[in-house]
Amino acid sequence: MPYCVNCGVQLNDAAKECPLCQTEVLLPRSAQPLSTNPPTNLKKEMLDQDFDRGLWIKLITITLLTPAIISILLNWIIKPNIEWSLFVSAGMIFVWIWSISVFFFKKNRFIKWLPIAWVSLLGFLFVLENITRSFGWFFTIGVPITTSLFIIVSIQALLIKKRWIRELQIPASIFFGIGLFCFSINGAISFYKYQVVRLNWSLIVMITCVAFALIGLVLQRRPWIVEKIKHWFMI
Amino acid sequence: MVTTVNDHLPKIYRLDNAANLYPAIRNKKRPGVFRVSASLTKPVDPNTLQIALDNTLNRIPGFSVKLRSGLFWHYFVHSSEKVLIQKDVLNPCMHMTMRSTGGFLIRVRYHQEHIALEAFHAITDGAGAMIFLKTLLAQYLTLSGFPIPSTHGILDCSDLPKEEEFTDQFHLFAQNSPIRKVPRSRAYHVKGTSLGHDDIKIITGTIPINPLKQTAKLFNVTITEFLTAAFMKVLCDHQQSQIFKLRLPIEVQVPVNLRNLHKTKTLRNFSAFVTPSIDPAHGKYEFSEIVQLVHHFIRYESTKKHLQSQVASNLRYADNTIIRMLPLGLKNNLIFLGYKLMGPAFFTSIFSNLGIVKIPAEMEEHVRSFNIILGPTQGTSISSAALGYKGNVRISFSRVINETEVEKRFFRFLIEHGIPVLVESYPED
Repeated sequence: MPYCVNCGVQLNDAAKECPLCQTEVLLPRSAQPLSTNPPTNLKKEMLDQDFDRGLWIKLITITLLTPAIISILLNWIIKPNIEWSLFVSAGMIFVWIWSISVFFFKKNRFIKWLPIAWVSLLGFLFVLENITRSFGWFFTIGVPITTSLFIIVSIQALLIKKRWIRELQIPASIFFGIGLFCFSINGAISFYKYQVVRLNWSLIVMITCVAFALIGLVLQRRPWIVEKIKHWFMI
Repeated sequence: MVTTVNDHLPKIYRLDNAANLYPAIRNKKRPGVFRVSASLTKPVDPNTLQIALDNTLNRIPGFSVKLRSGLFWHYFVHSSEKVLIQKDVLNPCMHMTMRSTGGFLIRVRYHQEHIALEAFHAITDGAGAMIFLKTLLAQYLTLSGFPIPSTHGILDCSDLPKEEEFTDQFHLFAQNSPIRKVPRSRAYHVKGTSLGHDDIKIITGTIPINPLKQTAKLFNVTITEFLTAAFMKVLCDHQQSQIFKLRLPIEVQVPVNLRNLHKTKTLRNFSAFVTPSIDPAHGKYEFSEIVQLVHHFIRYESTKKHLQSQVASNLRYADNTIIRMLPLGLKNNLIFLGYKLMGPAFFTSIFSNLGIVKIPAEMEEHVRSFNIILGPTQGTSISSAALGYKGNVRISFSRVINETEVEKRFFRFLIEHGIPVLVESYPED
């Protein structure tokens, strides 16, 4: 019977490595496996089978389509000269794209969903601008704010997903992202109003956010405090 | 029991006191599932196994149930649908979804020579599941042409189900006044790289019982006490080996089968816990100190009176009129909150010893080994369970983290004490 030279435990005749330390078994006396089928032919049980994707897509579609159709019909019957039902319909289409697109991805849903959400939000704002006939704000306010939000959230999601940041670095990064987003709102609005980028209130938000982010980063370098916090909150 | 289809086949079951916890807290991270399995000497025939399962479920209808939500409580409904056997998987003890089990709360799986029963903890405990598995194996072997007598806990499938097998015995056992609970501090938890909610890793050690018994005898303790102390020592050393040394208490839950103290044939949950603990803040503990602490702790906490009081204190909440009047949704949230606040935060791990599995001699020649595996529990990244059979003790460590440090330390500890260990990883051959 083979032994693990590292752990000292006995191993199964068919073992190729120690299950405890992964040390390779160099000279197993019997290379013959005990069973005819290797155990690796077992498959992993998938857990997300309870979720009926088709049913949810149908439910969401019916739920959003019904008010859109009703509002178009009412608009056509009651006051055909005012196009108020377009607001409802555009809103419903926007919500539909946001909710349905999640179901089409199996892995990394949030990261893959973000560009779709960004484009559909831009589309919705563009439609709004055209329905209300208040031209000018879409490209100066709508696009910069939406795009900056998309970029900031995408970077955050990627950093977390790839585990480039962890534990308290995550809230620190989120705080910093909030500060940057406020910059973009402040900058876009001031550019729309005064044709020049002026940052005022967003600087205060940024300073506060950076302070919180620094606390997070400092705490991260003191792991015993993180451990204590984790135990308190059972994370 | 509320109503019956006929005298012998209950249709609706109330959950026992321990079972009320599991539906409220179960999710993918806490499936509340455990597994008992047996390895036969010959490959399993699926057709025979399905017939054996049908016969066994006719005899033990309490396992052929589906969970339903009432206005105030969950309840089980007996289903006459077939529980279908399934092929084994690489990640056992996972969450029981509607699709994977058809709403049933058990799974019977097979692979090569292995037959396994996975059960949601709300319907039974380890001892009840072992009776079911032994009855299933006896049926399977009988159908395969090897008649097995209905002794050693095996139920006769030609008999009718007995009412006592489905009754909640906790109320009959809890005679004393509720125990006064001592406030405890949060316990140490083994940390590591998570495997994700759909994976579990299992390492099983097979130990010859004689050297284990002899070593335990050197310390004047039982095998359960010795193994629990060894596990606690290993957890304590593991905590001390961390870069940032923590000094949190090591608390290990050890289930106690109440059937040994209160004679009953119930197959439903009927166990309580004792939780020996050591606090490294008091200083460095040697193994000889830990083993004596564990010995006295288990002896004191597993006395009948103490356990009766412990069960009485558990029943106090379920019997509270205000809690009984709360609608199920609110009750579930309260149970969940209570579990989060009082549950795994206060114990490091679980060590469940099912004891020696005894089967008739006619069956022994066909059954190579038995095994028990505990499913993932949130908060405790590693848990262990043991049982004895044919002169060996099998200890299974199930973990939801990648690192094998605790198992490595545990088995090395046994080897250092002159106890040989054969280590296998799941799936076993």
